[in-house]
Amino acid sequence: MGAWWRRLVYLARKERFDRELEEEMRLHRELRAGKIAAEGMPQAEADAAARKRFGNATLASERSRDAWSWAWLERTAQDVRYAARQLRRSPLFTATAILTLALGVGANAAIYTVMDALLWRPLAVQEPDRLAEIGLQTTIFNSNFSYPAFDTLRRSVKGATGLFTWNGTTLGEGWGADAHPIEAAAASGDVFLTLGIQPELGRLFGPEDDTGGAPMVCVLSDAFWRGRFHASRGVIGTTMLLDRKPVSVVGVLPPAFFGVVAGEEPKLVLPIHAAAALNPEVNQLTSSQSWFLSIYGRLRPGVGIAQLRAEVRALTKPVLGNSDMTWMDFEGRQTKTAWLDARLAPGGNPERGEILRDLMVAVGAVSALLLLAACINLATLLMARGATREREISLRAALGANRARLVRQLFTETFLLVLLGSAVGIAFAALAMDPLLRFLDLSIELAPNWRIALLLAVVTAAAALVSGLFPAIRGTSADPGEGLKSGSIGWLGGHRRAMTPWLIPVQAALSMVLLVTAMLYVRTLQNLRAQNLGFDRGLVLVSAIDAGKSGMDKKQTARYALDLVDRLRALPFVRSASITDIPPLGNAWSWNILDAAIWPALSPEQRTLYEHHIGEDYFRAMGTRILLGRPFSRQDLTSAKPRPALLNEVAARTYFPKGDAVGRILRIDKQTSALIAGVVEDAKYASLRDAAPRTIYFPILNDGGMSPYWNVIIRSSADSNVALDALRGLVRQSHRDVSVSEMTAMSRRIDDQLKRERLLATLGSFFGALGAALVAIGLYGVLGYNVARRRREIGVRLALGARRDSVLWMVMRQGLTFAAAGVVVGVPAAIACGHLLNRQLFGVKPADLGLLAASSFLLLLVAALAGLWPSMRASRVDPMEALRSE
Amino acid sequence: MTLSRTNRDEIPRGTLEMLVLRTLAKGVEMHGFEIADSIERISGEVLRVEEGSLYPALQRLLVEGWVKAEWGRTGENRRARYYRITPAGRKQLERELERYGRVSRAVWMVLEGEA
Repeated sequence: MGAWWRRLVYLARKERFDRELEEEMRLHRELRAGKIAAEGMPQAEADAAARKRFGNATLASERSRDAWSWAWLERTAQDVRYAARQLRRSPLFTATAILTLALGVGANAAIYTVMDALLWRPLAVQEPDRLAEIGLQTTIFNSNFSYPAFDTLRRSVKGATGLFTWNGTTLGEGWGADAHPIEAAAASGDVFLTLGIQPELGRLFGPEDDTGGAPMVCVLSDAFWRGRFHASRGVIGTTMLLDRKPVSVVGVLPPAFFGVVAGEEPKLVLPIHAAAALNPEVNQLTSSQSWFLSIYGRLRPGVGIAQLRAEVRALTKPVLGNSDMTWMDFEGRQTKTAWLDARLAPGGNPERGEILRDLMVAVGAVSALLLLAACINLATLLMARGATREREISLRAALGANRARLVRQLFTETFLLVLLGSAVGIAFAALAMDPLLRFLDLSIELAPNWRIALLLAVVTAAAALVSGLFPAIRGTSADPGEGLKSGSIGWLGGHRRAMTPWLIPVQAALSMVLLVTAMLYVRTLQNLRAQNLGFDRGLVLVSAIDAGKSGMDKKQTARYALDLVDRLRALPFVRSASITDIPPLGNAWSWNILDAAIWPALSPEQRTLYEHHIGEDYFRAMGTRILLGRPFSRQDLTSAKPRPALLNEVAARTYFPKGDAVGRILRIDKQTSALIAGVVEDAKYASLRDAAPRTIYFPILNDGGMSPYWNVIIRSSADSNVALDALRGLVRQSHRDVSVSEMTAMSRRIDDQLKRERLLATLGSFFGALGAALVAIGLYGVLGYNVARRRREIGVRLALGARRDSVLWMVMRQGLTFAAAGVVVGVPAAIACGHLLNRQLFGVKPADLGLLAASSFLLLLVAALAGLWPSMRASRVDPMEALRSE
Repeated sequence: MTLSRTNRDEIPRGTLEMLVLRTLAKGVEMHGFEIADSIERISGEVLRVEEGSLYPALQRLLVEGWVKAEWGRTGENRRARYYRITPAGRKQLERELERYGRVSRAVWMVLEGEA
């Protein structure tokens, strides 16, 4: 608009404008003086009269200038400068405020960034909102298909085109015992065509590369190319040694594309047939028993997701074939009903995000609570501070500032604080990002985007409003006349209004919720750690062995494994050693279902029997007690039918309620039965939280042979690195192409499983402590202000004979009352919060009296400590001085 | 004493601008003094304006583009700034006249309504 343009021109020519205006107004006065003089007044008097007629020239100039400038801009600049000065004058307050805000905002920023990357960010592909994923709906959406199922789907589905599979996998790079794992993904030939992405370098593989006999190729991720190969263009055509076979590199993926599963970023992608050639056992393409592939496709133009869902549901029978399969979902529960389903997948597979969702929501809620507490704290402090600036504000009001202006001024201070706090907070978050991601086992390329920026802006604005508006309005509502009277702190504190007392109890209540929640998480963690696992957590080391490439047959493998474990036992630091197919707390399950015809009285859950296949000395190595009977001996391992087996307690109780399991035969189904040789104590299988399931232990050898994948269990007090070196040495001595994975202590495996709980306990404690600190700061501020306000009254009391410690107690009591009020309100709130989190707790109830009592006591203690200094100051008031001074 | 917002103008600012526009609406070019003089003369000296307050009003009219200004020379060869109304200014004057008339009539209706 023209006005805007003219204003800009004015800004450029400000000085000239001022000069010209002066000239103009001077002329006006002279002409007026001339006219008056012409009517007969002497010149000097005429000049004076003209000036009087003209009025306040300075004011006129100022208002003329105001007409040209953007008033709000000038005012805002002025406000900001003033606010900055005020903040500089009380550095301790400013620093505290900024720090607490920074922690609140930073925590929120970090959480939202991770959640965004996992749940909301779309893939860097063409038209991500047209991407769909096909899955198996049981109690949840499962993303696991067999290759034959994929093939059938690919040929049958009409509503989506370019169906491809994707499977994250780990390949070994290098030779034998020194191989190290590399994260990769296997995808079928249409993947890049359907996603619509272009190579950054070289070419991307296509359907012609994804056939049985094609030469093995792969493409690298951008990050891997830059990191390992230093972005060298010569990488195209080189070979990488993957699972001991040469695979040639044909291209590099574009930078923004990280894969199809949020939270997983493979370093290279290869065709699924190539992956199958590398690892036939793991990447089974012909078997319809191996379900490990996810399937994606692009919606055909004009087809909606509802249509696709209906179409695939109708294809359930033809694709799934044999309908007698049972499906297991994430938590290990089984179901028979399943049907095909589809969902939009603009962000790829959200599985990792969904797993972490509970965790993120919990942490996000706590961060939000903390930010709220910080804002309330800031509001309290601002009000206390505002009261001491009453005289200044009254003066300004008396000089003509209108109320809205004053409110805006005060609010600017808050806004500046919040802005600085947010900036620092975001910096904190950026620093904490890497450690956080590593802790959560995620690899995510984080890039700032508009969603996060918008969210942060909203959070900042909300924080500013909550913290600043109320104190600003309150602080300017005084009658300026009263404020200017001598002694802005009135006699006996009479008509001065008191600090609104309810803010502190609210803060205390919030703090109570944070404290109780923290304690619940800590107790949960403790309970999980302390429970009886059924085996030792210390002294047990586990390592995975892969003899798949060694060329040994099953019987040779068995002899090799037994020989290896014998050599291990001979090492000085090894107390006992054994082998197993599935170690406890590994991420694997193997189970049998007892035939319902043989066991009609049992429910399906009771008929589910989990398995371990073990060597001799297993229970000694693990530290699992044998309750009845005896463990396996070397002969047992090669026994013919019936196979010997051991049951755990709960299994024995279920199948042999009379307690006579040992020596009896357990019939599993028509072909399989086992001779029970002993009963062992219950031991955890795969989950720390669930109770030990019914478990059966079979010998690891079957007809004298063994699969080439097993785990070694070592009972030793040695360091895991020492043990690993020793094991690798033994393997090398055997001159067999066998690889040994990292050796992990059982205690570390447990900790890995407890990652979520550890995070919650740590963060909870951190936030709980912070909440308590906020209460302390707020209480200190309020009590301090009250003491200052009532100084004269205290002086009078002391002069009239009150004892100093009664004065001290008077102030202290006020603080404790605030805190107690907060506790009373906080307890039901904390219990309610605990109920919300119930699923995450273990071994502790939301309404645990002990924890509630401990939190209350802690909060009261904090209140007492916070009130100590102001109370002591009150008791030390010199009555004469207090009465004399203003 | 309680301090309330005090207006320095005796004529509310909006009205002053309207008067200025009306003065210039005859199509003439005037400088500040001439405008002030003209208003006072025509109003029969009833309206006393703090003449300084004319200048902020003139600035506002300039910003909005309702008047244009140019430096020139008075009869006595003194440098003065001459103001002239613009077509947009004429439209604004019409709007303001209409509004002012409406408000005054309403006020009179109330004043004459009850005995």
